[in-house]
Amino acid sequence: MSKVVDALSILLVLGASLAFAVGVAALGEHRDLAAIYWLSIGGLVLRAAVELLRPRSSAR
Amino acid sequence: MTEPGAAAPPVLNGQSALRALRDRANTVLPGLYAWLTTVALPSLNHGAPGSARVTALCALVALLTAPVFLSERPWLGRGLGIFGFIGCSLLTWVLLGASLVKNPGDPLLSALGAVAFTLYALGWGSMRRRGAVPEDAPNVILGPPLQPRARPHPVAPFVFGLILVSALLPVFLAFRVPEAERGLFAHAVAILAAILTITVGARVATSLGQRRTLPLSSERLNAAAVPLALSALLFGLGFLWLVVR
Repeated sequence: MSKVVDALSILLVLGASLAFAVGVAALGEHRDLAAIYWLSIGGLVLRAAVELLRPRSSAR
Repeated sequence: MTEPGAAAPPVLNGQSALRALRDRANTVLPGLYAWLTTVALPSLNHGAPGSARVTALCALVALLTAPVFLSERPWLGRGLGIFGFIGCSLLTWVLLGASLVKNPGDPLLSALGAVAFTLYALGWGSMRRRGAVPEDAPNVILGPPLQPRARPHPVAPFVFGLILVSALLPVFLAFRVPEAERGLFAHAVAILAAILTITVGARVATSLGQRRTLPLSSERLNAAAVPLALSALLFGLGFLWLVVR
């Protein structure tokens, strides 16, 4: 199961960079709303990848 | 090479200059490529001021003479290579002004030039001399060698390489933005995105297979549930908007 979560975190980072790339491309094509949309998705997906990697808390 | 303790500076002949250029190929080659694509080509265009061509030539001279002085007068070599070359290149871009913006050229060429400037900057970093042992330095604190707490997973370098390539994708796409102001903003966004992606990607690559430091898989998924749900919701809304439109 942990391998699946590791693979998911890799996919999330790759997906985030793809979303950022689409956002930058949309910015160049004057599609500002689409750019904001894709950059937001990229940020959220990257945040999800960070949460998957949060280390075990020391209180446990 | 000069014997240690020689009073007079050595005479630099053509052979020693070529040897110096060969020894510093890690800075000269990327610098030459960066100069050719981002400094020489724009300054050779029609309408470029003559002063820009002069500063572009000065940048080339600084680039090629820096390795010659590096072994005997390091301060002069570094000054020419870093401040001389970069300063003259910057001055060329300033003097080109609007003609640099009006004639963006090939975006791929500009992107490769930016990569070459990065390699040039990395080449000027201090490198360990061949055969030198770091532990032989006088400031080393003696003691047992510190062992790493964990070994990286065998696929970690490949994962990080893949993430690195994907993180550079927005940076390359930013060069396709034609307008100056919008292009500047796109570059800023792309660099921020690349930094964020590489930072998280490095953590992903190093944490592969590390079971002791990470919580249980279910806890990890629960922690990521909110941003995952929000991104899925946003993705669904976008799809819905695409269908309705």
